[in-house]
Amino acid sequence: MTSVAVSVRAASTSDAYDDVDGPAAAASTSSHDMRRTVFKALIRVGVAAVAVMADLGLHRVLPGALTALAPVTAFAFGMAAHWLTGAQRQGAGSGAEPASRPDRAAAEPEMVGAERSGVTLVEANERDGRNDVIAFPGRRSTPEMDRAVQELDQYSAFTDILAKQLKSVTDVSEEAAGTILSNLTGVDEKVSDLLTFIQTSGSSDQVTQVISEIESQMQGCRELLDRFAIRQRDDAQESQRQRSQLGADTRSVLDALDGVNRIARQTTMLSLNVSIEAARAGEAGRGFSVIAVEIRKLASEVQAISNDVHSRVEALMQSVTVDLSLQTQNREEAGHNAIANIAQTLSALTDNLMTLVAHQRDILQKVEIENEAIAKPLMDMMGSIQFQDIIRQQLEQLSRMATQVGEHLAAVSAMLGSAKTDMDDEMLSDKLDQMFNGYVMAGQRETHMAARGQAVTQDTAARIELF
Amino acid sequence: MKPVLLVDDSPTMLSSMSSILKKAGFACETAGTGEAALSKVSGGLSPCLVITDYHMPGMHGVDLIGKLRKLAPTRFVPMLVLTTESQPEKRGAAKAAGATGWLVKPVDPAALLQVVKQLVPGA
Repeated sequence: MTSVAVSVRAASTSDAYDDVDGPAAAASTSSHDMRRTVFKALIRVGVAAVAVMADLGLHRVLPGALTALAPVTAFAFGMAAHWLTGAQRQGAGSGAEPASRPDRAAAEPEMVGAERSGVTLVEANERDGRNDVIAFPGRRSTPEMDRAVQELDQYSAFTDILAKQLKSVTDVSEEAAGTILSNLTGVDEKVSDLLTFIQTSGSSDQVTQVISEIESQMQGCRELLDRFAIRQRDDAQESQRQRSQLGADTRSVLDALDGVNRIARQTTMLSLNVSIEAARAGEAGRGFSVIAVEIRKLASEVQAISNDVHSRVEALMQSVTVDLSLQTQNREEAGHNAIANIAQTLSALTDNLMTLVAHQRDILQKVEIENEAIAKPLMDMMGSIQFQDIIRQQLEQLSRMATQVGEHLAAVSAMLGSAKTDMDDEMLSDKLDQMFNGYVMAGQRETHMAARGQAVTQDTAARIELF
Repeated sequence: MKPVLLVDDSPTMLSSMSSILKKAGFACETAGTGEAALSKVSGGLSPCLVITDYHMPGMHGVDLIGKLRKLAPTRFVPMLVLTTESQPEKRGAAKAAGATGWLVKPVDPAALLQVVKQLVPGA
């Protein structure tokens, strides 16, 4: 918006110049030629400097500077146009003056009179003791010209401030770029540290080692279970063997009791035979008969005791056999169930561990993917900071342009004050050429050419070239 | 690994390039002027790659390359010019002075790393 406004104002001023360059020029004096030169210089300065600076695209960065430059330049154009109009009037000898400028109306007859008499206004002022007209040694002056010179002299201060402001913008942007880069680097380091930590703590080697250790421990548990099961089986077999041994021993006891019982029966039979033989012997066998009765009683008691012991031993053996069998069976079942439960728990533990490891691997993979996703934009942002260097170089070019404009305007002012038609400074066209040669990037040259209405040559060179 | 020598009068460029190259695993040495870069190499610095700006106060980039080519540590080291300039005649001057390549700012970090890895064996 700023660049459009300035360009329109510059163009209208240029038109004004073209208008006055017709019939008025035919009647111009050498002073008028000088004014024309100055006016042309002002227009070229304004059009070239403001349009190039505005069209360089830096109005986004420097709206304040360009906004400030526009009215000042326009004011200078206005002053120059007004001054030229006065010169036309003076050159045409009209003598008509605005009612608002009585001092000029009063001064002009003096000036004309001085010109006619061949003395300068300084001499006329000194002669008449007047100081209401500012006069420069060696030239004839008007208040408008002097005012224009004063304004032109202000440009050096303005361009100096502009150059310093541009430097300030460069410094600020450089500091901001440094801060951004520092922050980006900090974020990048934190992300890298985090990733390294995750990779270290969850590396496949470590996971493999942990899994291997856990599997080794589980294998140890399984072997313990197997040994426990074997021991259980051996215990059961030993218990069975002991039961068998107990049964055999008990059978031996019962057999012995059967033998005792048999002896008791035979003894009873023997005592009966003795009683029969004693009865046959009569009185002589009465004593044997008594003994036989007693022996039969003893044999009967032995047989009764033997039967009783037999029954008790059988009952005891039955009881012991049943208890031992039941106990062994229960123990085997309990051991089997315990082993099964432990094996099932170990299996579940292994499954959970594998799930945990797989989950950890997923997390690690996700983190690595996300890190890649973050790393690329981070690096791109680090590269994007290069814009500050490009802007810096453009600002430095603008600063040099501002300085050149100031120097040139100072030369124009000096030319006005010295009544010369040649400036000490180079022609603006030469400065524009120098400016063009001083550009450091294709975009600046393209902008310059476009601003001057020249055919723009697009830069088609490769951005990366290995020789 | 030997460091990459970065030469630029812009602190921003030095920081930006250093960050990118360090992230890719390179060590970096920086210099703000051509004179400072020459001083570092003369003082014993032996870089694996030199990346220099073209426009710098004092000695410009092409002059620096010409002088570095005369020093033993950098005689056969690849040297890149990283600049906003893109004029063919300036590229030609850089090539004649011994530059290995020409990069126009702003350079894409991935493209920069690709070029660097291409020029530095084992990078």
